[in-house]
Amino acid sequence: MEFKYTEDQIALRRAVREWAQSYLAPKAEEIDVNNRFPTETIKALGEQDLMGLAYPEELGGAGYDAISEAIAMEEISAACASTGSIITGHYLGFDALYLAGTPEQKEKWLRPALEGEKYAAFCLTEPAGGSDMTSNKTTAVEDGDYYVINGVKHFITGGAHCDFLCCFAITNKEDPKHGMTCFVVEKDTPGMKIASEDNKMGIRGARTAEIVFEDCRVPKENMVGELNGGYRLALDVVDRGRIGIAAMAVGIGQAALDLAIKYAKEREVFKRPISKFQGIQWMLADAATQLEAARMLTYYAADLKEQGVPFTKQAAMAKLFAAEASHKVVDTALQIHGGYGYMKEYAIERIYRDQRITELFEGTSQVQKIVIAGQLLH
Amino acid sequence: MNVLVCIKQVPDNSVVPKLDPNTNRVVTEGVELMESPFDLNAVEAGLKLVEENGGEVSVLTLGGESAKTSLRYGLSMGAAKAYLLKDPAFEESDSWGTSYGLAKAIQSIGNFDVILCGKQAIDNDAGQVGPGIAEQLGISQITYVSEIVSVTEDTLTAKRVSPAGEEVVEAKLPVVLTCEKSLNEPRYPTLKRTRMANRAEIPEMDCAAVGADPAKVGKNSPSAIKKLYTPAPRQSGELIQGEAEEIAKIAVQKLVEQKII
Repeated sequence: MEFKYTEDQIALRRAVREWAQSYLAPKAEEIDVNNRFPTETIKALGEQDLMGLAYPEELGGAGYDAISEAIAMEEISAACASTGSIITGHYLGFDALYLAGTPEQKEKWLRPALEGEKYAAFCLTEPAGGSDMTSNKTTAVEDGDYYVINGVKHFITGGAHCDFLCCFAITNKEDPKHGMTCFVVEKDTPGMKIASEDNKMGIRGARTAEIVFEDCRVPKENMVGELNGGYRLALDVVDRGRIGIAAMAVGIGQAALDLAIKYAKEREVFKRPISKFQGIQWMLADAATQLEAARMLTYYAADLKEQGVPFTKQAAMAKLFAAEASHKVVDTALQIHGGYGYMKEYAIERIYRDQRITELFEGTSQVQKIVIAGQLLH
Repeated sequence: MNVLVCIKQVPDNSVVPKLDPNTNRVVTEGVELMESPFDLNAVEAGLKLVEENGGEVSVLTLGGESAKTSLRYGLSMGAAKAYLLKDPAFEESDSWGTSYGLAKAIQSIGNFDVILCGKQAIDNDAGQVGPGIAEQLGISQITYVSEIVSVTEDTLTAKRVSPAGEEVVEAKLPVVLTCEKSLNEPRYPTLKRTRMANRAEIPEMDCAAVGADPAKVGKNSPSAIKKLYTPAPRQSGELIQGEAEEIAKIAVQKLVEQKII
């Protein structure tokens, strides 16, 4: 065991931090206030090689390792949590193609996604079923050289702004667990309609959409992986994505802690900075300790992923712990700001709202516990 | 067009510098390091020159092993080659010794049409090395460049900031330019280039390799620092309060008392 960053990881953290603080951080407030998906950021992320960071170079990725990906996600989310979510949605959106796509599919959709030419979305969640995918209602029925998709998907990150999405639909109603299939649906395919975009509490720049499929015909060659193999594929994609959410939570927590430290040094009461009071010091110490533990658990899960050994349990643990730790950290950071932290003029107010999603999406904290317990008891 | 950019690694500018009274040097051990910011303007200018005129950018620094990080940063921005001039003999060199060593290194690397430096390094703020390189090489120089106006096969025209205003100067190639912050906005390294830069072989050159005389540099430099100290903090001013007319009278009186007016 070696707790040491590689040269790549050190250089990557610096490069991502400098870019994110210069490009993303100044617009974080504006996209929150205006509830705006920052289309221009997608292009910029591609130019910085952040749209396919830890995927092989021969496929169009940047060739970094999984810990580097976590570091990049931390730095991006520290600058702008919405952008962290936008990237997570993209990775989830094309990951099925990476895991199960044919060489032709990889060339057509994966390469441009990794190179930042196309933005992808993950189209799984439905009003009736989130983590419980067996309750999903969207169907795909074979019709000649096509599959015809009908149903409603919601909470789809970037759904209204993506170039293609990986849609999971039921292909065998009798046994959804062994009867779900993944299809690539390209933007503007007839029969696919953006019904609405959501008005969220936080990560407002990462706009989510409700998408309606009405007799949406997709060619058979758009099927990703095997017919009826989509349930396992979706679980694998989500498993891998959890590490990214854990890293996002760590980044958000770090941004909050940094603000709290800065504020505690500047804010004076009773003729001294509040950082001189032991009560504040202990709050900061607890927050920093929670955050460091979350970071290490996240890197551990990422390291297992990199090694190619099972990581489902550790990824769920990292996501659970990091999300809840960052909740405590942002809460502490806001408390240290006192009444000012409750004001829109202070970034901690936005960060407090942005953090909350990390305990909800990609499986709530309770779902992570189901996954962990399942691993312990199987 | 072949361009060479000199980069200097300096203590991070967010750290208050500590001085070692025994060596008359700024303490660099255990301190976060960075590239002197004007040097990154120089790298950016070099990259733009080759993008418009063809050729490639090389980066060069004088320093120890850690200075490779700065060279790798230059590579990650887009430079094609990097060279490290590394010899214990250079320790404690003054501006003359440094420019002598760098000029020798440049001569041994190859021919360059344009050599770029930051206008000064943010640790010593001397601003002597760029002009020194031009003198050592016997070539033209344009200092404090705020804009590169045009380039022909054998000339370069640049706008420079002078105490009297701005000047537009044409120089024959090869030329040394020292770069202002206002010249450009340095690009951020992309992550693919960052990874490539981390894998690049960086050749090291010592005095013998570049034909520099160790007896002229380092502690044998022509000048030496007699004393290095942090300036005493400035006294806070005096605040005169009251009506504008009264304040003016008191202020004038005080200036007369101190024989300023």
